[in-house]
Amino acid sequence: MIRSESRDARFARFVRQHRARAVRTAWRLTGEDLATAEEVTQEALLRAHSALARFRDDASLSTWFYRILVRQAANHRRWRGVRQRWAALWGEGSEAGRRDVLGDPPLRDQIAAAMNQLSPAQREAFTLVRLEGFTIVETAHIMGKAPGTIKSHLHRAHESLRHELAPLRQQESP
Amino acid sequence: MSRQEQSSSSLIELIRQEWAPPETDAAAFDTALRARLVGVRRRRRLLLVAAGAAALLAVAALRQAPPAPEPLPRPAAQSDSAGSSLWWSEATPQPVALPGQYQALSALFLEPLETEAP
Repeated sequence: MIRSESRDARFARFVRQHRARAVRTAWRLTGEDLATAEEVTQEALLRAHSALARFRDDASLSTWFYRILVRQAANHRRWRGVRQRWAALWGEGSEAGRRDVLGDPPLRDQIAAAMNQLSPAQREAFTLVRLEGFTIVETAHIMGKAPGTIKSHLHRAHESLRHELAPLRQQESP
Repeated sequence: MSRQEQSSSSLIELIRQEWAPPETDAAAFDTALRARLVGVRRRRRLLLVAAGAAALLAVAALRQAPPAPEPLPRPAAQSDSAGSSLWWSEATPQPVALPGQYQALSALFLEPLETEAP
């Protein structure tokens, strides 16, 4: 009983520490609404709960958890087309229509379009390192790739985003 | 910091600020997560109970099963009433007639031919 309580307490602490960052990462990786991001995060957290005993320190649990999260988000993206066709078949609203509206919608759409131009690996590397503040080494562990490969993905992502969002920067500069 | 690096970091900052989800309702999130966790635990417990019951049933079935029959003794060589001997062979499970029986049969059919011969 005591062991179970301490396990639950550890899990609760882990959720508290990572909830916001994980949902934000899932949202940026899936590029969909908040509900989807929360769903993906909860799936990853449930897996983390069952694997809790395998990890003594929270750092390795955290890396493992984000690896699961990134994979879950990738799976979600992969099946998006099927879900959209299915929703259209049943007359449900498209997923794009359920996106959360916050801030400047045209600007967000522009950024979303630019992010959609990136390859999945470039998007993951850019989101984890540049937007969520993971180090290159942490991201390499999360994505299961060499640090050099992450740097290369980052470089290409920067190039692509700079090109795609050039009109935006021109508007900003004067 | 070079001009390119500066513009790059300002672009990243713009994306970070503008392209973010609304804040999660932490209480609702935790409640939903707890409910899912309870569901997972319940499913796992049910699976354990089902697996335990299946194992118990298997053990009970093994205990109730009659003991395996002992192999029949290998029959010794026999003789039929006509005097031809039979033996059991593993390769040919059917009884095989020995030349004694064959001779009796062939004599039966060959006899008329011999009488007709000059």
